[in-house]
Amino acid sequence: MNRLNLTLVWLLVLAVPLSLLAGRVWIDPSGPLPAGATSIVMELRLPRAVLALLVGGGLGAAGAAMQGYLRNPLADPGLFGIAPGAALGAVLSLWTGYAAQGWTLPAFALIGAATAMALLALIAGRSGSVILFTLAGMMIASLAGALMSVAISLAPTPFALSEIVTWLMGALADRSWNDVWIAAPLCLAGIAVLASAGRALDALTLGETAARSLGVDPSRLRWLMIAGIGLTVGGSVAVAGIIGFVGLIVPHLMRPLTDGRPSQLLLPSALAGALLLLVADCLCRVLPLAGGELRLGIALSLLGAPFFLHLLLRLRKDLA
Amino acid sequence: MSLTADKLTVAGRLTAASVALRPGEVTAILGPNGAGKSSLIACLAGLLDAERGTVALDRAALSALPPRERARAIGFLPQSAEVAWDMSVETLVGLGRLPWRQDRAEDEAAIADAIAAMDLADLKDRAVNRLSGGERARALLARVLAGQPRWLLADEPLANLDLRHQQALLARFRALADRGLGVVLVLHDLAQAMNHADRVIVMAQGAVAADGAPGEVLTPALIEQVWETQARWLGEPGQRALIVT
Repeated sequence: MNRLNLTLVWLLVLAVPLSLLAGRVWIDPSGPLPAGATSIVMELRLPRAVLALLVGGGLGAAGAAMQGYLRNPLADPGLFGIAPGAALGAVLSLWTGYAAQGWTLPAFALIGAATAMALLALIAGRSGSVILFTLAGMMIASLAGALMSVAISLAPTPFALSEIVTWLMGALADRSWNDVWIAAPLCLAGIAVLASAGRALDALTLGETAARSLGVDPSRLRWLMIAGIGLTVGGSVAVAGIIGFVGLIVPHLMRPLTDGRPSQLLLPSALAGALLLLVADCLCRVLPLAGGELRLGIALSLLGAPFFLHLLLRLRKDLA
Repeated sequence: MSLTADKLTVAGRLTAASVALRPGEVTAILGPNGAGKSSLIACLAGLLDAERGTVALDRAALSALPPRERARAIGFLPQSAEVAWDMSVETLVGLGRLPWRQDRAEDEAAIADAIAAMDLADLKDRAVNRLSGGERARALLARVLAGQPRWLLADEPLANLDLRHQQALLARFRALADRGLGVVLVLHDLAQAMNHADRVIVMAQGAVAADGAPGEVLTPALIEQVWETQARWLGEPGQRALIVT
């Protein structure tokens, strides 16, 4: 493991225990424990921290892989329509009221993600073109977005409406070990699939023709991308809602610290994504807000949008 | 060791094109725009499937080879000089090792050889984005050489290079052929082909119009027939200049 990955692992080793102490009830490990400290840590904060690691890791790796695949530093895992597909599934479960049963919302979200993946494979699966693939993803994203708007505008009750809007903002509050069991296999399998595409993504640095001449099978790579992005993003959205910008910002921050090869960016992006989400979630928890805590999705958008603008300003020189 | 194409046909691009290439030679593929040069070299590199006809590497059908095995035998330098992410010259050259199973010692030796062959030792730590056009062309060629292919196929490798760098690159192609590599180049400049190639394949309307030593093939009559241009040669063999009349 190289120095960058080791540093990130060490930061995570430090950040995880700290995150367990922070929150509305602060826990001082040297002082007397507050009432219910064990259950606060074990039932609330630990699953939340594990989810932050899984979701952040999944989104970070998915972002790095997407940027490598599209050879575009502005690509985001949301582009392929899998995140909006999963969100649409979750919204439908809230709309119909099925979400009241514990496992239904993530199950609906996963069905949404799988449908988006199947559509993507059906439309662009056989063709070799990255452009067709991206356009198909964007159309699926915009269709899912439109259907979500229909669901919101036709919400059966004000309660369902508020549930849908709140859920779409993305959060890790009030999550349990059940959510961890849903997200863990999906995100970890997704990261493993994306990692297996590393060398093909490296070859793609030289363009599609050169990559094929280096022995890359474009069709196999496309399936790996659909499966890897689908598993990581689908698993993340199913438990945390839409959390944007992690997949965009993190690979950017990490790229200058690597040798430039997409394969070398996957693991640092996963680790840094996990760290970013863990820290951001802690900040959301401890910020004193009158109406409850700041939603994680909003916090990351507040952080991510200015970052994106900064990036565009920097790229403007190259693009001009 | 041979690379042969037998009656390749691709609708609208190639019509029953047959060639047999030899290692240790610089072969230039020539022809007017749209004559099928890029299609022929793409078929020979295994990147374009012909509708009819076959490409064979050492008498085995190229399409039946696993892509990585094909990539180890045939290095392809595309026309595009794209490098999507900024990286050092050494990392870029290392991408040529992708078709091989990772073996650190072998990889490092092959990368060092390729860097030395292209005179890039002083530039190996420099970012690719900070290279001049000529240095970038050399780095991209070193990337192909790092894969230690037996065949080097390049689609218009001299495009976008100034005269000095064109000459330097042609000299390097010659040196590679002298080392036993089969070098196949798509070229536009007939004089460069005349002076630097051992053999030329002239394409016209998707078919092979002529194939042989440049001095025998590139006659004023053929140039007029294929390029619809009247021209004549001046100078001595190896230093010929084409005068358009």
